[in-house]
Amino acid sequence: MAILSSENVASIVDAMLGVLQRGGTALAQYVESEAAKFAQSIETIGVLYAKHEIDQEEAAAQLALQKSASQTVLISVEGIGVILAGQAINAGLQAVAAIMNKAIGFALL
Amino acid sequence: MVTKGRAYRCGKRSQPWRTILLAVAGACAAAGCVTIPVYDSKTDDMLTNLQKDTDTFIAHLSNTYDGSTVDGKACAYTANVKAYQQFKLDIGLLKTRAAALYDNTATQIALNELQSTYDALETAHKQANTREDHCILPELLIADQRAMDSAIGGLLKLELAKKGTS
Repeated sequence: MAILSSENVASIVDAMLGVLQRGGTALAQYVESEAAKFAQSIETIGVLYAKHEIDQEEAAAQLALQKSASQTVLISVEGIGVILAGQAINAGLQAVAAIMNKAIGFALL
Repeated sequence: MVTKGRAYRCGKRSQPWRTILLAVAGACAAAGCVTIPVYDSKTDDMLTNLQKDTDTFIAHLSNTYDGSTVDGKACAYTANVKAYQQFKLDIGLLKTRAAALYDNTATQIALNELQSTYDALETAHKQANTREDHCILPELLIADQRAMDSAIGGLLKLELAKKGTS
């Protein structure tokens, strides 16, 4: 016996994709903007080293700072992605909760 | 019940997406629902204050840079050791709070990396102290401020995502 129709299944997919597409686009734009800042900072370090205004050790220390900051950003992005996945799943469940719960006689979803 | 065959037959979207989404949905249905980490306003406030303090600190280093060769001047590392100690303390408090909150692994990992970013800033400052002018160059301070703001901003974005307003 099937509880969910093909329309119900499509509504789960739509709900999930809606959340993922909105969040995914915003995240991609954010990462793009952060990558541009990272590139700009690397450029500054390279130019100052080339002009002998800083030595190799200071350039390396500055680069380590930039790498670590970018790593913090990307770990945060990864965390946001996991939250987004959870929100997408919940949106999918929400889309059919009433139908499913009514059909089986208790609040499963 | 949603079957795999049914999922393949319906709609016009690409089949791999449907299969993945429905498999995840099935797993979720079995478990009830997916728990989203809870937004913590205290963490938000602490991060915002850390960002403010960091911006003030870097502005102080920039405003006091004069290119002279006097050691111990306001922008030199030796005159700012306490600021780094305070940042370590602030991040330590954030880490303790993050560890006490349920399902908060991403924030905990990001805070560990944020600590490394401050450690790297301190190392860079120590290294600058060995130069004649003893201070981080203003051009580098701009890049440093950008990096620190990005790092803290990422953590703030993660916190806001828990609230659904990233």
